[in-house]
Amino acid sequence: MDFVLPFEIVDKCLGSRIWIKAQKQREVVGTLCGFDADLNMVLSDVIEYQYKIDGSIEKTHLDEILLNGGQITFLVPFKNGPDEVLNKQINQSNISNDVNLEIEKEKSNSD
Amino acid sequence: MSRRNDFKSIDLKRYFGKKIEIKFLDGRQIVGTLTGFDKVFNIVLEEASEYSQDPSNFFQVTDKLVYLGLVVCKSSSICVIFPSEGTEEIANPFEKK
Repeated sequence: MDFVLPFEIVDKCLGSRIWIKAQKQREVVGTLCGFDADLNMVLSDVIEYQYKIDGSIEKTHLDEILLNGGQITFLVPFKNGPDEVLNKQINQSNISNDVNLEIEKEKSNSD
Repeated sequence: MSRRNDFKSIDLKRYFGKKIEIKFLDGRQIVGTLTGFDKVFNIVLEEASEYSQDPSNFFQVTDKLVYLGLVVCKSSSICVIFPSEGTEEIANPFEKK
């Protein structure tokens, strides 16, 4: 495992999708166009997610934004937001269900 | 003067390649393998997962983990860093009954 610098990864992420978790239950997904030492960022083709206390999610589409680095908690580079992660988990659960079904079928056949 | 420059509040190198957990100022909490940091303690975690937050109280985290992968944490929002193994949560001893 190699030692990596945090800004090295952000630099490699230039031009690709990045998922930013910010304060106050806010999440921003966009294509990274530029950043500085304070992690102020220019993002294009942005979706902003605001998680509400009643469990609902407010989605806002924006063409281009300048995000203040002070608001950022952490970054997930090369990820396309919460939808991707949730879909993956659903798919994985489907796969595991399928595998279980197959195992059950084999068992019943052998019986 | 040189001594002051050498001083480090935590020696994160000790935890390189080990599982650590990070709590943030806004109540988020993530766990992952430490693979990098810089002098102001921006931190890189590999195979990181986030503890999902309780929707009715965002400062309360649940046991459910959401897998994220590679994560870069911003130093200014980090609250606590601790190794996953060898630490456990105890009840608040100062709470009045």
